[in-house]
Amino acid sequence: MYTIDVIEKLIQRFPEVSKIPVPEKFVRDPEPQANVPPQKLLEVCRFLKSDAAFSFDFPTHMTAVDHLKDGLFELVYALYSTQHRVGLILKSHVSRTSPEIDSVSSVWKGMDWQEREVFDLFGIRFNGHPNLKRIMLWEGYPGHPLRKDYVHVTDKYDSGLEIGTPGLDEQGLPVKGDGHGA
Amino acid sequence: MAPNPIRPSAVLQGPVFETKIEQVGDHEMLLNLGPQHPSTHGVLRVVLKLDGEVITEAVPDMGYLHRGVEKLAEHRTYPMNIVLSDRNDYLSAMNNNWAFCLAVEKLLKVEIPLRAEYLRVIVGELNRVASHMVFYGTFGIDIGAFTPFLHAFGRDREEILDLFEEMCGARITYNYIRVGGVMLDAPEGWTHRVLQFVERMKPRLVEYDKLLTKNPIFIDRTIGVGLLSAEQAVDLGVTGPILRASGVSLDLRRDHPYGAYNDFQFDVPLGKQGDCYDRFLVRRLEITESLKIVEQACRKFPDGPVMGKVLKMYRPPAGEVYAQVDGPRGWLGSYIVSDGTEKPYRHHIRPPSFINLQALSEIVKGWKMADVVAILGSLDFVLGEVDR
Repeated sequence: MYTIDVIEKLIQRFPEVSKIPVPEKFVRDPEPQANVPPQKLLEVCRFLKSDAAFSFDFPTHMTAVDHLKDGLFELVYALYSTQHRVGLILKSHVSRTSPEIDSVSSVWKGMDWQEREVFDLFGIRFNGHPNLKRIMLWEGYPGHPLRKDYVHVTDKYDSGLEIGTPGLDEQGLPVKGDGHGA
Repeated sequence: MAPNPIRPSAVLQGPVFETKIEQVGDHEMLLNLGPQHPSTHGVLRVVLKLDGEVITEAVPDMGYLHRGVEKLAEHRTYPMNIVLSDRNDYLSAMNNNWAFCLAVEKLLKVEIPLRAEYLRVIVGELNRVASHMVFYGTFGIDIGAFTPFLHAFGRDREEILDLFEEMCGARITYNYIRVGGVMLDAPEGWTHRVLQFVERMKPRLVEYDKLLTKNPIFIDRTIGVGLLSAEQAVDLGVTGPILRASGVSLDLRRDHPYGAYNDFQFDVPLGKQGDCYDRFLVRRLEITESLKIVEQACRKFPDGPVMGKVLKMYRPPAGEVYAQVDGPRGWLGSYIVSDGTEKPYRHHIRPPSFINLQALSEIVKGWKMADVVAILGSLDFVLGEVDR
């Protein structure tokens, strides 16, 4: 599937980029992965899209992972080239205290809503995004739920209790069942 | 009941009508479409700016069905997550199960028995047909033709659901494809009944074409409407029939085969210009192709077990994995980060409908109000997957 070694070529152009070794355990088609410093991300993305040797014109998906122990957010960008039929994964790490990164929605329009989703659920700011607003949750929602340290604020759908514990009826007695009803 | 700390403020501060569109000219008006509107196929709200009857801007607003599936996934074990995956795209739950299981199997390095791979292909393709039948019927309703709905949704899709019910007991949310294989083997004579169904569908598809595909009113309403160019589609990350309707020949089943797709012969239908009619036609032709695959799979259905060697409680090794299938709506992927426990550390779903829906505000500009309904219908999204 992968006829060109995209990462080696990319490192020649951008020495800051480093290759993430793909572990042996993957069975089928492991996609090459590269670590990109957040300051360089936009430049690397522009290059990857416009350069004919790469032409990663298709944004497969992007998301984030909260590495609470390391104090980092990991941003994952999966790209695809409709011309060369190869995939590539870019990763960038930003600190949890001031999570900010350049928006790549100017490079691929398809990243627009996905960046909004990451902003909504992780609270990572995308500089230069044309319309950085919450997309799934409403304005004024407390916190960013996909962060690992997010504390769930109970609402009427929990019967005022944590998920998995029995709900209480009007007399304050435990309701039989899974506690999700009430 | 305990006082509610979130909702009242949400009602007040929630999405304000003019969230994005601040500038409204003298001859312009704002129109709110949805969230409770039959042609939005779920709870999608679109704020439209109109100049007379012509759309100048459209801002979709979603999240009404947001259930936090990705957060829920972090608190559930891997087998429990298959149940959640059913609920994302409830029109093709089999493909959702499949995408998730592919990812976990990649982490666990499980070998899937051939019979299970074939069963996955059969149910996946039947589910694609069922999903495209819903599209075929509801798209007709959007345009103003009610009869096709009764044929596709009321009669033919029911037969597929009956076959699924016989197989796994469920009609919508199957939880059938499991990590390592499938839940149960096909009951005796099941493949024969599937073949009978495929035979029954052949004359009915001719009927389908008479009702809609060659209907002059339908053609007038859809041809040349809502053009999406190939460059736009690729830039937006649009996948599935919408991408192929724009003339981009990209189908994971053929280009990066998963499961047993290497064993079957099928064509990938392409559109010419990426209008509503092309998007309709590609899906209509995909029904034929899917039935072709189902027929081939049933004819050379292999013997053997349907479940690989997987422990009841498994803990995938720490690492991350991405796997995707080409579902009825496009690339449906699962990105899993495992920390070596029985629950995923992070589970991200690549939702085809969500990414495809970005095309809406691009292609709806310049069309009349009545065309919005046709364009919305032609994108064939499922809000359960858009909002997750």
